[in-house]
Amino acid sequence: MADEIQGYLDRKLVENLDRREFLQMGLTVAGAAAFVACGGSPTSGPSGPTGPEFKLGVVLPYSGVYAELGNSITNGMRMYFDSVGNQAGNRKITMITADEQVQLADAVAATKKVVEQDGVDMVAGYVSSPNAAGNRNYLDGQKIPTLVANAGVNSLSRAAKSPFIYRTSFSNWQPAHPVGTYVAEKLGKKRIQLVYAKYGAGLESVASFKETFTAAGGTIVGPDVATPFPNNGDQTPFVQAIQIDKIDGIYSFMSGTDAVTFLKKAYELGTLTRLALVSGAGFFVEQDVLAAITDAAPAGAITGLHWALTLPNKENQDFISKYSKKFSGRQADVFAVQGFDTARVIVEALNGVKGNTDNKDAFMKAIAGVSFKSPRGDFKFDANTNNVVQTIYIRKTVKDPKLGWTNQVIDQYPGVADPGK
Amino acid sequence: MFLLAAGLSIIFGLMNVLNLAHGSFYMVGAYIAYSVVVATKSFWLALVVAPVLLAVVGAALELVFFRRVYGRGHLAQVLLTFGFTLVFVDLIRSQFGPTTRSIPPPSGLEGAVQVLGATFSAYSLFVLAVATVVGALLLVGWRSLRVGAVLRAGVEDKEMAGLLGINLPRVFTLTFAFGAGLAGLAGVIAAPEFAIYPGMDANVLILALVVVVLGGLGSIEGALLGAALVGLGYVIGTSLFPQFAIGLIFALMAAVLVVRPSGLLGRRM
Amino acid sequence: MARSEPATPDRLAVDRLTAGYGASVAVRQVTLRVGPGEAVALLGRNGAGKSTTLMAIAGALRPMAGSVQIDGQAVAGLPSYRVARSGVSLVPQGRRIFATLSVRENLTLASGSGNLAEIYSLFPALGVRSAAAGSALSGGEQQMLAIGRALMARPRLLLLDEPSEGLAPQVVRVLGDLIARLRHKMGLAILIAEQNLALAFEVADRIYVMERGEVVHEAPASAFRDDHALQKRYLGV
Repeated sequence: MADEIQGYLDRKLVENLDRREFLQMGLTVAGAAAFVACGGSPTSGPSGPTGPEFKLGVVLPYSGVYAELGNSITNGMRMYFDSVGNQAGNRKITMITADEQVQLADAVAATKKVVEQDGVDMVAGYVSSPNAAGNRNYLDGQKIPTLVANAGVNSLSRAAKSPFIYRTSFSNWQPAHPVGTYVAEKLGKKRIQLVYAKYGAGLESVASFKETFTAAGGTIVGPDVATPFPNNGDQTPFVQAIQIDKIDGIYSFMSGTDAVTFLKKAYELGTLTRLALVSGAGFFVEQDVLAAITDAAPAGAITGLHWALTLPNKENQDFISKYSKKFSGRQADVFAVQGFDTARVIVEALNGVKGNTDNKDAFMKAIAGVSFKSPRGDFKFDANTNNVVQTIYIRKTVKDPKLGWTNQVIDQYPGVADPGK
Repeated sequence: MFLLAAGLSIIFGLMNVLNLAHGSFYMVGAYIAYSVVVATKSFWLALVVAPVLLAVVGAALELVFFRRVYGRGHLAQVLLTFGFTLVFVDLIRSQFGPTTRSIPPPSGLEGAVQVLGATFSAYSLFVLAVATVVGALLLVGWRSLRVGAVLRAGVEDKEMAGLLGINLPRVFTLTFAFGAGLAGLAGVIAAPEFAIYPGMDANVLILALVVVVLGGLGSIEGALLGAALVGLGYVIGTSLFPQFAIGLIFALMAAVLVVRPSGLLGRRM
Repeated sequence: MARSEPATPDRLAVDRLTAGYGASVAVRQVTLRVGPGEAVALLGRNGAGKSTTLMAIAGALRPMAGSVQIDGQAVAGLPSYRVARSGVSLVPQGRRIFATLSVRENLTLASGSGNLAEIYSLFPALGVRSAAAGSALSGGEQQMLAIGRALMARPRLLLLDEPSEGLAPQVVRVLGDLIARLRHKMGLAILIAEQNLALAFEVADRIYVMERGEVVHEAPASAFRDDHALQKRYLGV
């Protein structure tokens, strides 16, 4: 019964949010369109787009554990679309959101809803890997141009690659791969224990780390510490399973609430201060986690990610300040960057085909050819994998006098491409 | 966990109301703790403020809403209290956003302690101590005080209790307030130990329901035993098969239901 | 049936009371009265509406129509706890002892002003077993407890619903003595629903006979006791 209740709760929650989110979005777009149509600006009077409306189905979680990610990605997209007047290739761009939620069944329903009911021209979104992978065959079969804006499951760049699905975020392999090399070679730490949330992303991340780490002469000290995902219980036994005396450090993959509770417990038990090295995929100490745990943060943690709040390039500094201004003081995060870049890919591809998306091959080719300077650095697609090629930054967790706890970039590996063929 | 289950069990047992909003009281308690700690830096103040505030909220909800659905069967109650879980989650989300929050343990309870060669965080032990003390107080009150006798009588035979001149509507309101206060207390206690986020209510509500079902409805002893079993099951489960900890608990519940449909210490329904 | 208005109001005056469960009416237009210090028996077969009448008077059942007055005060429609506080105690059918509560807890539950020592002196057996759980008592002891519990509220009107049910004949005789004693000692007004005629005649001054939810006969207890034809007609004995 509990499950039914939970399921009902989730569904109910979503219906409400969905409607509200949708309305809000409709209003934003309508407002922008009205503004453009009236030529209300005294400095410029762009005429509105005359081509047919371009409907973008946005399938992201607005409820459940990933709601925060869904909101950030949506904000990033909205920010970019607003910056170009919500139009490209002489077509007005309308975002139609649907709630991906947590479970695959809901994500499938959301996808079908935007495709079959709303008749969208394109789909973007998917936070969770099983949901992206689970919708892959449908989207591929329907030939719906799709941009995956977060889900990192490696297979989408490999065996399950589709000519209609490109990924703007990362593959799980990417952020972890340089960390193995960096830890073994540059830091000279050769004995590492793996700590991860036991689900797809965690397993793929630690496997990728292991690959480069052992190749560079490192040794994985067992047994692995694998926590349930998500772990709503006590983290104490898992923290205590870290064999502090036998290792030089840990490599960890956890995110969000799991990372918060694990790091807090490790801090309270004194494990953090006794560990010579905490390394991991960047999500372990991303801004959302650091904001929650504050001084329980693992100072000096070395993590790999395709972005950092502190990246000094102009595009990033611009993005961060405008984002904060637009969304009442919210701090930008890596997910917002992914949303921002996803929207940009769409706009540039639409401009490239002059709004003609009837020829899907041409449209997909235009998508594949998009490249630009993103807040995260150089952005382009890999023709072998349909995945983004990007710089992976090695970051160190520090307390910045102005920003508070954050990650400072100390090294970078440019042009990291998933090894898929 | 026990605190939550006790409140739920009394409310369900005595009033025959399945209160799904109970998890929400827990969540709101945690957020009140967060707000109070951010504003005043005092965890101890939060420990007082949150249960009191939630007791008031609980009493108000009982007087205005829940009172009307007592006679209408569980479906109406589930729908109503369910509605409240949605309202509470939305309120929290609109006030605090979907971000995960956290507060540090109060000063003096940070860090780790060695007990019998094992290391625990000091705060975990504090949680254990609070649960034990509150549990003991509840048990004593339930067994030895007149209030306890009144509640037990109400659980057993509401009509007869009324015939003896017991003002059940008032007892209901106070019980509901007390249950909500307990949930709020649990929320405050849990805040430094776990993460605070919208949706934390659903996780604990399900576990609390399991505790109540396992232990038996309308019995503090049952809630205690159920909480102990679920806690043990969870710890053993996570260490043996991390992925099936929850499954193990539900299996335990199913087994108990087969053998004793009214729960380990529940009255026959 | 003309009757002069009494100078003081009746302890209990029920006027055209209609009550039932859900939509089904179990008693219809019942009118009866119990004077101060008077003992009245409500007779009738199973299902005649005796219990429903008592429950409706006590407020456990909301009357659909009619009035109930206690010492001239209208109580119909009040919740049962308010009726109880206006001086009415019910010893329900089947006793309904709280099985999980101790004897002492059963007695002290009601917020009455009665004192425990007094009850224990009336029922020495209860004093001896004050810590025992309600469920551990014998049928006779449970009946004593149910009555003792009702008396703790120091009622002005005691409603007894089939107190002899399930008791051995000699226990019923003890019960009869007890009720008679209580009445004289405490000046209680009593309304007793009974199928055991011997007990009813021993206790009551007057009787009402109910049939299919209505009061069909009223008589002094002595007159009805001697009229076997009427007894046969109404009660089949």
